[in-house]
Amino acid sequence: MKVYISATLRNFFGRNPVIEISENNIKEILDKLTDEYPEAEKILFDEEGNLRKFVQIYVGDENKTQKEFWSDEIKDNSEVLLLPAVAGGAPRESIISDDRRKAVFFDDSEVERFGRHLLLKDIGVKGQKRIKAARVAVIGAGALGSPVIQYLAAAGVGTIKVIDFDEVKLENLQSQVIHTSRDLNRPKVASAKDKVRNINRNIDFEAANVKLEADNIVSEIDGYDLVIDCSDNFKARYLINDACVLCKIPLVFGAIYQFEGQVGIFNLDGGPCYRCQFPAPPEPGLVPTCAEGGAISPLPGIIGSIQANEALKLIIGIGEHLDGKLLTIDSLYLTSKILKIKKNHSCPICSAGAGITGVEDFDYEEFCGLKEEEQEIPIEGYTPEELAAKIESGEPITIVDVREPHERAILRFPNAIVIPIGQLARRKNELNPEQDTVFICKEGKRSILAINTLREAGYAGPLYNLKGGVDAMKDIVFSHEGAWL
Amino acid sequence: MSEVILSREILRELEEIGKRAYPDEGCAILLGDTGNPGIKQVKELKNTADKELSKSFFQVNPIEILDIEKEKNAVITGFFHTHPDQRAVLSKEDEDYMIPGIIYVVMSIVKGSFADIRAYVKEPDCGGIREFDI
Repeated sequence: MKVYISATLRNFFGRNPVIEISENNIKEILDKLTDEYPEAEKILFDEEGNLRKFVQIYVGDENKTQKEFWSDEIKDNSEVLLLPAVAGGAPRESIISDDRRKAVFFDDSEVERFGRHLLLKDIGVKGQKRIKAARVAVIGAGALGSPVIQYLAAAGVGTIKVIDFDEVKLENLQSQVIHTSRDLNRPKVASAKDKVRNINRNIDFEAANVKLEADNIVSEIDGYDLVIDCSDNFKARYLINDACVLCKIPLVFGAIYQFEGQVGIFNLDGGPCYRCQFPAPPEPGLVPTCAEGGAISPLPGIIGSIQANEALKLIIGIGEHLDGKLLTIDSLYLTSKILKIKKNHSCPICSAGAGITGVEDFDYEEFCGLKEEEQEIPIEGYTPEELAAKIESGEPITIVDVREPHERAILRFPNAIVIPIGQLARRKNELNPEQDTVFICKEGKRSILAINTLREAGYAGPLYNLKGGVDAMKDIVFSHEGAWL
Repeated sequence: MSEVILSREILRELEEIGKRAYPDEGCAILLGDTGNPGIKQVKELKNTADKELSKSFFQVNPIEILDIEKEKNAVITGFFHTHPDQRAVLSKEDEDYMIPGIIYVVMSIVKGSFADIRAYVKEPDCGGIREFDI
């Protein structure tokens, strides 16, 4: 009997278009084929031994793919055909299932409140019900979290969880518009809760005043439809991304720095994740955080609003979104572009052969270079008090300021010499290896990078870091001055 | 190889197939030459899914593909289909029906116009799926 192999499947059968087989039913024919071409077995059958969906078996012009026909005797002069099944379906419309949408109802005040949404053809009652049914977790109630939380609440998202461990500080009020002067020293989640209640008391607001770590993130986000990353550091970003991949939750990512911002959607229906585009974080100290590098006030408003808009589009199931794309916006020169992000087939978290199977097993501190105690050569440092005592005693020391010019303009460090990190290696001769050299930056992170750079360049003199940077030095009062500032 | 080369002409043909089929899913077979990379020819296929299903589903009669591979002196490089008003990403069904090593090109048609195009290939061992550059 002749078995015809479609050109689409022929690679797995030694490129033979026709194979002669003496067996006379489909079951025996398939057994014989997989005996002769063992590599075809994995192609034809899945792990449970079922015929894969992309294969169809015809005898003549009759479809005999169903197992019930496999024992039927086939006449000698028949031709058995192994053909491809070419088919597919569209991806799901919304991240909210129809059952959950249908379980939602509106009262008269809600019809009035959301009238502007109900009027939109693309949202309407169906979309607004999806919004009310949605459960969204927002990580970070800071600069990005401020617009995200308020717009989700205003739009009527039924359940909003906000996760943040921090308290409101005066410096937050420049960009974190969900908090006010009256909220100073309060947990950010408490302040956010008050604002959401003022917008709509019917929203189910869940406050989690916890710091996310590998041992708690899964329990904090599991069961939510969507996670919105409004964090401000790389450790949190990788942790959030990985937990979302493992919990199969789509992620709306956002980040800001000075005048620029980024928004993207990761892990939607098995799409690319944050690690596919950014396999590893930059070296610690190389890229200042928002707290270190600053950001213009309205920038998180722009980026956070786009995050909220993307989240609502995913929930409603409309439009083109940033799935597998990264939008970058430069607010200084008003330029923007969209980068396509491809799924990395060897991504350690979201590929088929992923190495990371649980966030608890992955060392995020080490991955992000935050484990100071485990560095090959430990960096010695002075506390602000120790450095102040050395300065007061008149001991000869060299202080090197590696901050940017605009940072030095805010707070000048007296008697410090200025050497940018990029010039350290070639200007190492300006330092005296016979005396202590102390490196200072804003938070004490870039100065560690500076010390490592000098050591790699072969500098042998004693190097010290100012722990906590100039920020930690602010409260030190020297005997010769009224106050540091 | 991790890219699919589509000439402007082929791209235009695919776009036309997608627009013509809208709001239903359109589909086509992509043919190339033996030994030469790239897609040289597009042949539209008939979406045989039921009328109610064809907005979000497509299927092709395998005999139509059999006839093409017997008639045409060409290599089957891949298959193309559209997602009307949906993203150009693979659905679970799309993935299940992918044959390893064959290129699957998906085009998003939003409100009757081209929105996005992406290409995917299933690993030879039926493992993961790789996105190819176009």
